[in-house]
Amino acid sequence: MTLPRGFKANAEREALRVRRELGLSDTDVLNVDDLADHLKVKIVSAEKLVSRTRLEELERVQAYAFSAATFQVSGRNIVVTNPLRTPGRRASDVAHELSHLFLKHDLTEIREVNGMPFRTCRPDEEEQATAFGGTLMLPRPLLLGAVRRQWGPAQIAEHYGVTEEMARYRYNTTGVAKQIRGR
Amino acid sequence: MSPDRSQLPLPDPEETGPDAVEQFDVAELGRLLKEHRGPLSLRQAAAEAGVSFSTLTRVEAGAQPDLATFTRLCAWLGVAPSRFFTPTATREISPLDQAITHLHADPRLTDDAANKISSVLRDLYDALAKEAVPAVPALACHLRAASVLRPGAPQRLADLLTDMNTELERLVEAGEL
Repeated sequence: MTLPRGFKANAEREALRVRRELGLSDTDVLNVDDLADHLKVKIVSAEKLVSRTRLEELERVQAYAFSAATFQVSGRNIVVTNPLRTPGRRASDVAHELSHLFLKHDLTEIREVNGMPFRTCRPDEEEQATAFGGTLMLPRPLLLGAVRRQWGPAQIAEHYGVTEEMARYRYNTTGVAKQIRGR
Repeated sequence: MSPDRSQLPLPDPEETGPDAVEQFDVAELGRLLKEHRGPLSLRQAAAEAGVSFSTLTRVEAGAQPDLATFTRLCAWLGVAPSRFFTPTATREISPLDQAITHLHADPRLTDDAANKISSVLRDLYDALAKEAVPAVPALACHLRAASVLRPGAPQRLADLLTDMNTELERLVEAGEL
């Protein structure tokens, strides 16, 4: 599955615009809780809604089976996060969920979990939310700055509070290392 | 009392889609009534439930009650009325059965060949047809979860998401969120 033509460039522009709205520079650390506040979206830890034991039980059955979800309740969007995740992973999850709202993804697909149907968005929109979430957290100018300081994905992840997986994804897909080397 | 379907709540077409219709499980109602009545006589049970003796007798035997009787009986049983509505697809012959019928009617195929193709079709259908739009109203949520769930995970995840949604609705209604 590929992203629509022009998606990545638009995502970069939009990520910088959002940062300006939040009063952040292109290279500041983005706090996803501030971003959620800005969007008037509530973030709730799943253990406030169900017992932590049940979340741990699901995690034992399958690690990462549940990461996060955005529920629409009485016309409001509420992001529910999994308290068992690291802060970095939680940030990625929240950025991903908020991206769905930014990108105005409709809940048109039905995904069935054990016979219980959930209205969710299309798989290509999931990919777009992941790409946009990564761009919000680590826009290109920020990555270029990091590469100039000779930081690799591990240092980027640590400094900007994201997972190493996300840092590597952005590091590789934006081609920033190549751009710096080419100079 | 004559059965009157028009008095029963109709499904919202927006929620269930054009291919689905809710079916009222009258047999289940009769079974539960009999079970709940236990050693009580029909007359005693009818008095308790607030319906007439003859109505209870008929409903227990499988007749469809009117809405007022149905509501009283649900209250007496202590179950939600929605319990007796099972969504079913209106399509009576599945596309798979249709395809298999066509295969068996094809003069170029021997019975054995038709059976072999049918068996492959059945396997494929079982594996791929699960994403059909279900008839029950769905929870609305963007879900970030593993794309493939191991045995035991789907049930737990579905229960968790349902309970999360219920609790969120409660908190929002109570003004706590």
